[in-house]
Amino acid sequence: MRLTLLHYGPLRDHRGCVQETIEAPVTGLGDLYRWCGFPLDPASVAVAINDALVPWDHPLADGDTVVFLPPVSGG
Amino acid sequence: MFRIITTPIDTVALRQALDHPQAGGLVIFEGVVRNHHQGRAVRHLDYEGHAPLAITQGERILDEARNRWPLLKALGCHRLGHLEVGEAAVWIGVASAHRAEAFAACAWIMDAVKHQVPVWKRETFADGTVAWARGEPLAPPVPRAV
Repeated sequence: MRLTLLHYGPLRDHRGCVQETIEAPVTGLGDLYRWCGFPLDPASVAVAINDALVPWDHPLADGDTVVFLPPVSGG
Repeated sequence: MFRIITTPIDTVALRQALDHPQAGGLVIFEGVVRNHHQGRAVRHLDYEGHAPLAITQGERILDEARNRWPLLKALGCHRLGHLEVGEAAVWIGVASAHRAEAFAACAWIMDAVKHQVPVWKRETFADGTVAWARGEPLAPPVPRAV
């Protein structure tokens, strides 16, 4: 599956880039999160596909843009 | 209107945008960069955010505030990028006929922004160390009050 990933905050530091396009044999968002090797507990992370918040069991489609959102600290 | 910008927040223009002939109370919250955090001296902050979703979430919060209180205006703005001590990072302003709903709505909007808008703050301390603020998990969208 071909996906575009956007990274922010501590997750950007972990991947070392703001954006990447990957080709990975992942079956869902949890699988993709593990594939990325992120160190944060996924229970503290939200996820957006194509700029809309989705639940973790939302299906992935070829060409999706995925953002894993670590704990937020605006304001 | 909820804006994500990378330039200094124009607080004068935003204040003018709150003008409304039926308004009897305007409440504005300006969140500014302070020079300390948990006992450590802060040199500056860098903010980043996922702008498309931040705008959507911010607009959703303002819509819900209008649903909860009889507001004439509700505006918000978050700045991203490098900010020095004393600069405004976030601005919330509401106008209503009477003060009680303006105070309540402004405080509620700001709390919601902190929990529901995807923005991240990186602190650079006076000793040169750099760290992402701990933050809180992004909360699900606010439920409708009615």
